[in-house]
Amino acid sequence: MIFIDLPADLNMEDDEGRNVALLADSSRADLSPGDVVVAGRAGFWSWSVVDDVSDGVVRFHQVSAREAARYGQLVVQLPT
Amino acid sequence: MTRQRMRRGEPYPSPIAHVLRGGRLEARLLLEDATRNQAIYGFYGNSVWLPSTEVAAEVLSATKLRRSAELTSFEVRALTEVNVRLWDTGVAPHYDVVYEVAGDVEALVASLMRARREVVKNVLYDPEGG
Repeated sequence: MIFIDLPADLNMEDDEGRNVALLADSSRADLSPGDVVVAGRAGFWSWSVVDDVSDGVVRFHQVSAREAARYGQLVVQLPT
Repeated sequence: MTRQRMRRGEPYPSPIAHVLRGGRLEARLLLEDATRNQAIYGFYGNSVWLPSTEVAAEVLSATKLRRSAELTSFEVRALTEVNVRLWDTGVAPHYDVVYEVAGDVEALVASLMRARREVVKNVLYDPEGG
């Protein structure tokens, strides 16, 4: 089961070609540059790396699972 | 505080061109996405991609849209028929679909949901791509 950390529309890009989302929508309020997240929605999601967070907007880029794994463990225990 | 959104100033796309959007249309998701766009950029819009001679549909399917197994395709004139417009925002070939009356997000979503469209399989779908 995939858990979406950062709800986003992966069709949407900013003026520099990066994906964007709202920090307020994230399950992680402490996102910072370099963090790996699952961004998107069921059926259209990607491992992603946060580029920056400012004014409540998260900018990120999509990466492969292999690249995401370089940042740390991809499987987590969800709260029960 | 909302951000400025760049418009490229390109000629309006041909009525027989097609735009692509990753995923199937769901009114609830279109509303979420348009509302997110408004929170960031100050207007309600839904993102689509316009294949061209510079960026072919196959390239978009393998890059911007590679994480979506299904793509929704609209002919530009089908969008015009339901009173929505394409804004050439961000980096080409990204566009926002906006309603002719700014601020009417319900009309934007309703228009997109009744627009003629086709759902196609993304043969270049790559859930593990990078």
